[in-house]
Amino acid sequence: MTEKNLQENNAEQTSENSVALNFFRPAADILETEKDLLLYLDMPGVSKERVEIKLEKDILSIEGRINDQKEERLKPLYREFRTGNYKRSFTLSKAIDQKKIKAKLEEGMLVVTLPKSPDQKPKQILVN
Amino acid sequence: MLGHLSETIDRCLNRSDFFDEINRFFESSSLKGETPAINLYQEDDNTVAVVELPGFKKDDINVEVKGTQFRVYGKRELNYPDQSSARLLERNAVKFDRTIKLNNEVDHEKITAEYKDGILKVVLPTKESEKAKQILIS
Repeated sequence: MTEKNLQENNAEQTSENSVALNFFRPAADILETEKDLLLYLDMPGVSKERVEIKLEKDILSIEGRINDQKEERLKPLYREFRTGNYKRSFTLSKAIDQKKIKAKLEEGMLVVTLPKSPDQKPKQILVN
Repeated sequence: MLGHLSETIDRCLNRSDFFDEINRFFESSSLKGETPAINLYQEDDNTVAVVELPGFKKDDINVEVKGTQFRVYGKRELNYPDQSSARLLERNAVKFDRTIKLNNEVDHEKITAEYKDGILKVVLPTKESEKAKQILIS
């Protein structure tokens, strides 16, 4: 079990550069437990209804949209950050049980749980 | 424009990892470092402070206003499962304390703050005595 189970999909990002211009690349952490791979993404300003997680072939793509209409009537006085939508994609290996992927959003932090396929989990071997 | 620039550099160097680094630099969310970013807006007679604080707990965020000093401080811990190993670490545990000077004195009684979807929004109404008054010319 290596980090190859969840790899950033750089190839796609490069080819889609012209489209990806309006998107931020959210900071990500990936942790591995015995059962799952856990993906954490910072996406401030994104609500549950505006997250789209797609799995096509072995590519997990995550997109989060902010509600920027709210800020349109506000006149900027001082700016340290730009607001925008988020997008990032990862390549999954076969070792992930794709049907059991789950996600939750906790105050602008997206947590995606990617369960490992049963045959990838460590097995206890009895020694006779 | 940025895309164009990256594209050009990429073509020149023909190295996608370098290109990726540039992308990373410009497109990462504001909480890449340890210090959350603050935006200030004007909305009618109010100043609105917006702070990006993804994955914080509400109780770990504090806001104080004293005169024209707007202070926000707090922390974010990364609560990961005990029996886990890291495969990629880009997010930080954060401890911050920031103070920003506002243009106007604020009516302390009317300040409101909400924390939603990882965004802190503080509405700071301008003190009555500081509001611009229309003077009729007779």
